[in-house]
Amino acid sequence: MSLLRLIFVSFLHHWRMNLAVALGAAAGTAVLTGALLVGDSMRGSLRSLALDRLGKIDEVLAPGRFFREKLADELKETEDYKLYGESLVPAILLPASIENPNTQTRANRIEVIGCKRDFYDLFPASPGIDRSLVDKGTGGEGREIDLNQPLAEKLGVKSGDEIILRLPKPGLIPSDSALGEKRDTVRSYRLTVRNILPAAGPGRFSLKPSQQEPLNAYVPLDWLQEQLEQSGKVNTLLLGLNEIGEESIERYWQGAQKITLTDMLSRLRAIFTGRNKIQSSSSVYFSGIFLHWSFPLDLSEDLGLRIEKVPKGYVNLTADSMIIPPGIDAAIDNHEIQERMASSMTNIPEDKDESHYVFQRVFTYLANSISLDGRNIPYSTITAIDFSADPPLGPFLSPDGKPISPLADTEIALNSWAAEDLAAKIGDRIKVCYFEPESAHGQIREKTAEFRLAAIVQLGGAADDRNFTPSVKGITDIESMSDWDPPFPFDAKRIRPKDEKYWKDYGPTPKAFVSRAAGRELWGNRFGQTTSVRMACKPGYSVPDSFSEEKFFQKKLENWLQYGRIGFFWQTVKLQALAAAEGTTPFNVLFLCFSFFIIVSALMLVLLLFKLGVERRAAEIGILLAVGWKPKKVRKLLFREGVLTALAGGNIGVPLGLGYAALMLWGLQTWWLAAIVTPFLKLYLTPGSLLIGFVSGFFMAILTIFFAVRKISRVAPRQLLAGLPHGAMPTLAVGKRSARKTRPSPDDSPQHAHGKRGHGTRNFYNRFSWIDISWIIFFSINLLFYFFARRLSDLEAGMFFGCGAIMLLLTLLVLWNRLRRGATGSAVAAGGGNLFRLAIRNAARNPGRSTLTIGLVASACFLIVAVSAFRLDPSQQTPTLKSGNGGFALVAESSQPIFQNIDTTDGRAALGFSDDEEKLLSQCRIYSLRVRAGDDASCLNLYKPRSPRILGLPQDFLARGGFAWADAPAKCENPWSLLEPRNLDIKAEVPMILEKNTANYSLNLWEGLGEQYWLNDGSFGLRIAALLNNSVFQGDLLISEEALLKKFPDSAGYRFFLVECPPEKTAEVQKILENRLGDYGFAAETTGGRLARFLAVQNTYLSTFQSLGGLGLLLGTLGLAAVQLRNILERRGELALLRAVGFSRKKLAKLVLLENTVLLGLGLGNGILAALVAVMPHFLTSNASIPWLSLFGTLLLVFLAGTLAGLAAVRQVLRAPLLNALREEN
Amino acid sequence: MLSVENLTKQYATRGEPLDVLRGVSFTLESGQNTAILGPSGSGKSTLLSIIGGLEEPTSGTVALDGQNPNKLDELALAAFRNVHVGFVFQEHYLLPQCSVLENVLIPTVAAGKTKREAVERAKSLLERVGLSERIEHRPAELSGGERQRAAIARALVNKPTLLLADEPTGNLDRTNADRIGRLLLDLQKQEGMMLLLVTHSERLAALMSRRLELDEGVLKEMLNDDC
Repeated sequence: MSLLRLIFVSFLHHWRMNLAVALGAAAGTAVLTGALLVGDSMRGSLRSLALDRLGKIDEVLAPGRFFREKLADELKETEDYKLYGESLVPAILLPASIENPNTQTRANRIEVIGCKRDFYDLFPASPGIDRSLVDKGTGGEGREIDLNQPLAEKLGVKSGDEIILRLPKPGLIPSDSALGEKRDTVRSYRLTVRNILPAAGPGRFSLKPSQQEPLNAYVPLDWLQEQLEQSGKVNTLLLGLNEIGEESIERYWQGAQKITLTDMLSRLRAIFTGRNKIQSSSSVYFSGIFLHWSFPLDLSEDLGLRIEKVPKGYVNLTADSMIIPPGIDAAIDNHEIQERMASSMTNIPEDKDESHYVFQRVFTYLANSISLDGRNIPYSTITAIDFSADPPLGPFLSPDGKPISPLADTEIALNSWAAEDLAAKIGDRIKVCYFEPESAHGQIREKTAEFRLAAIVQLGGAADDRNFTPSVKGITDIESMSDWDPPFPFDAKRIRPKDEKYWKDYGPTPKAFVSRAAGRELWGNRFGQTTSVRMACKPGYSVPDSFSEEKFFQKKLENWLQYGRIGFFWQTVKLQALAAAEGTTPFNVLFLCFSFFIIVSALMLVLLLFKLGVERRAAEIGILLAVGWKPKKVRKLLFREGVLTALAGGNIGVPLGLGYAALMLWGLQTWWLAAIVTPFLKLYLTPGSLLIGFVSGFFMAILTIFFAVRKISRVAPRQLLAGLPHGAMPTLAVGKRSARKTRPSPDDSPQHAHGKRGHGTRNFYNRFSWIDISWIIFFSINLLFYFFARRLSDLEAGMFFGCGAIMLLLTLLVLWNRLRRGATGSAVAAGGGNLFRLAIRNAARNPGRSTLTIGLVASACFLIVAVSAFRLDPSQQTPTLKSGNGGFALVAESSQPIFQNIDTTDGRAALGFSDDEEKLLSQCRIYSLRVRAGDDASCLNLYKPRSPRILGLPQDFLARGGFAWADAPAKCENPWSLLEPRNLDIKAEVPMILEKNTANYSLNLWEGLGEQYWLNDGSFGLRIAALLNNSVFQGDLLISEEALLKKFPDSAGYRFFLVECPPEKTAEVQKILENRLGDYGFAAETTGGRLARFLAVQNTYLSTFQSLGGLGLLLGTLGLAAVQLRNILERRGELALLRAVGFSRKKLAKLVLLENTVLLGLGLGNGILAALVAVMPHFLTSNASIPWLSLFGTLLLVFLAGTLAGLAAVRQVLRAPLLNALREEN
Repeated sequence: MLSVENLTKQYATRGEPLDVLRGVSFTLESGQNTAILGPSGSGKSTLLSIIGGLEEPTSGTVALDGQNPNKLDELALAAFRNVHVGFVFQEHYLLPQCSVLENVLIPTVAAGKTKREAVERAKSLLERVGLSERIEHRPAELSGGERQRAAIARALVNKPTLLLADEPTGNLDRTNADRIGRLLLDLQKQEGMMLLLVTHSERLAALMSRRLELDEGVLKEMLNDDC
């Protein structure tokens, strides 16, 4: 017989035991495979969701402004589109809020989609979409609206019900500028709900990466255009690519997914360190495949620019928004570079000599008054310009006809009308009073500047030019000054007849001039520094004959414009969505960690069962050794049998893994829903994960079996042949030493051992071993540690967890040592309780096995208790300055920006709060924060954020301080002060603060303070100044308001609010704010509630860990049951003897159960003690919310599971014909 | 007095039932000792088990001081064994985790509280079996003979009426077997109990005042000449 055959025959012969071991191995493999599949499913589901919500949309053009709907048709005519494009759909996407007027239920931050039927064609038909609804399109009659199902459910409306839609009212001039409209920025519409679209396909459409169902409302595009006064305009183009385009996307995607050796090493490092530094490796591909498209933009309609040749003979460029946007201004600045770039793309020849043309930039502003010695002129325009001497842009002449020299920055020139009105003469100090160019919280402040009158300009020639002032609706188009309807404080009574006459004769022609530098200094703002650009050919030059001057400069300007800088670039939303679908949380690693206890239990089960199997075959092994087999060969035999068993286990385990993954996904969709917020998961399989699961499970089982087998040869053949009478391998594994100790005296004399264990001879050493003393010392150190730890807030929880784990191991060692030495007290003594004493002593029968049992239970308890203590419940937490709520009671957000200051009486009055409400709100402090819209980077979003939302913190908030910190520079009392802008450079890194969890898990920033983070568009870098701990700001990047405005000048108003108020008034304040500011989609929640929402994810992870720990424990119970059964089998003789001497079956069962209970009790006690060591500091120093009830329940489960294992043994005791054992051995 | 009348024991097999005991009858007076001899498989241990209440007969009765253990319920039977019967087996069945003294006291645990007198008696018995210096030792620290002596002390701790010894010297060498045989006799006399011993050792049986032979389930009185 060959060894191979022997292996095979033995494998089959011992099939029951091998099956048991294989099932243990299968459990391990299943858990490994299942965890990997959970990760696959998460990624696959996120990917599927991303594709579902985008339909055929691959790229999006959303410049942040309205442009011609026709642009879509024009783009369709381009070669690029013909090559790559398949569908191009114009639409309007707007943030809005909707209210159900019947119930006052409000849905904020919804998306209104103004679209035509072609929008629906972007989504292929799928079983989830009711085509009959879709086919109706959005060409509804009258005031109708379609809602998607989640929105309808949130509002509690059905088809035919009425809703109130609140939309932003777009203004041409930014509301934050002095001339911008601050009130009446929201419009309401009462509409009838027509269709409810299912939450799939178009009903799930969203450009934002989130697994949560979007809240969408659909209205006819033309209706929306009409309401927004944007006839024929849209703000979004949705592009679907054809197959070639899709392939390009796929190629990019595959390129991004290609894993290099470096990536693999990084991933390995990430697994072991929990850090992931490969997050941005693919971002280079996301700059847009069709970036090179030259947009056939219309300067007027698409960019809001007006270019016209004015009567004075130059070409004047102005903007609808009054101020020319910085991007366009910069394009003119950089026109030399642009000229070269553009020359090859157009039919305009490159202009080698720039000196042929003049571009003069002008900044005209409104002076509330120009005054001298009590005389003043109301409401005049004043122009900042560097005088040009040549026509048509000049010259500017004095009354005596002499050209005026350029003005210094402290000088002013009045036109002759103004000079006469003020009776001013050269050298006089002229005061100019004006509104600050930017308003904060809608408050307009006046300022005064003083200039020296350097010149008086003749009101004629170049100075007599109305086109210095751009058109402003409600002002420049009004015939009488008294009839102005400006958004700023205006006193019509100040208008004198002569002012009206000037207005009638000269219109908005400026009455004064300052240097351009002075104008920029005084009135320049984030919206721009130029109100018009005057363009002309220099004397002696002319534009090419084929162009009019107007057309020539228009073409030049079009060439110079970098469309990317003005927002006209394609965002590769599908690629970004696929990249984001990689997710922030590595669920495979997470579930591997959660399933750790199951894996350990499975391996322990494999170890125990295999060892028990070997023990049962001890005589067989003894025979092999006795007949001359080398131990190595015996090991080989057993090991190869083990390989077959592990293979079988792997094969059983992989399909079981599918079941485990399905169970976990079901758990995530139900019990642990808070971890993923919304149920969206489907099971996805990848061959790689199945293979890795199989191989990993197989090798883990093999290693365990190897560990079990390698000890075989240490046991003497004679002992093996004897069937290992007290059979445990662990005991025999240390047999040499044990045998020496337990060998009886050769002469059978009692003297040999006398004195070592005699009465009264136990000394201190006997009572306490060095292990006991170590335990006492370590416990004392822990106590001291806590004493100091309460004063050290920055001690890591991990350290205490480590202390707890050491405590657990040390206690196990103490127990093992005591059991080994039999130091468990008397087994039988005079009096009662002997059964219990005997049970304790019986635990010492096999110290290794008992310690293993105690260890298993203790580990389970340790993890379950320790992890439970890390649950936090801030929902009932009172506002405290140094906590996660920062002392704020409420946190609120609005759908539409609010420009007034809710924190001031004036602001509240402007917003329409009543006197009673004012009385209450005056007791509150409300901080308004600016918002740069972006992705949700909180733990509630499973997608990897591309560009997280940024909040701009006002100065008073920074000075206020507060909140709990995870990390901040030493000796920094108020880390918020680190955000204060000091010489903020447009190119320098902006200091930011964010929550530690957001930094670590969402953005993969692990290096802490000083680490850089670049926004996805690469526009600028941020540097971590400090890290918050469990804060209401989770998911947001926090920078100063000043930095935000500098980097994102178009951020309008305030949309994030923090409210300090008396705790007992919280609900009342919330109600008032939500009611009064309902038009803005204002929604508040308690800070505790918000924190609880965030922490629900963490708490759910802990629950998951607990639940899976419990599952592992159940698996461990099988091991325990196996051990107990084996114990009973081994002790049959002893138990039979007990029966013989008068123990009833019941009493014997009680004894066995007691033995089991003793082990369980020791395990529970040890686990709880170690857990307390681990979590006490956390418990003492934070708002830990230990779920006592569920914790008790889980521990009870542990106890019951252990008892169940004991009952299996008891059952064996009750059923087995024990007394036969007495005879069998005779 | 122990009275065994017409005891039969039949085991079911795949074929014909196996008759292990066929109408065994005998009596044992108080203070009497008896050896039952017989080859392996003759039914000696079965007979002892039935007498000790470890097994039920197919028919026939056993009466110890007028009490038939086979008519007792499980609890009463356990108490009966605990109080009236002492067992010594070929294997000592000492609990390895307990000391010698604790092992001797194990039967008292079955009865509930262990009385101080029981502890004293256990110590006294250990002294009588020559293990007074070993009471704190574990079985693993004893020799084979010592273990069997501890087992005898354990069998006597509850002052049984009947001591049943099933091949008590089967695992011992001749010297130790002789010592155990004599010890059993001495203790039986001192305690005034009945001793029923089954063995296939003629040497041990010769120490007993009465010998019976069990052969193919039939018990016969052995005359001195048979020895």
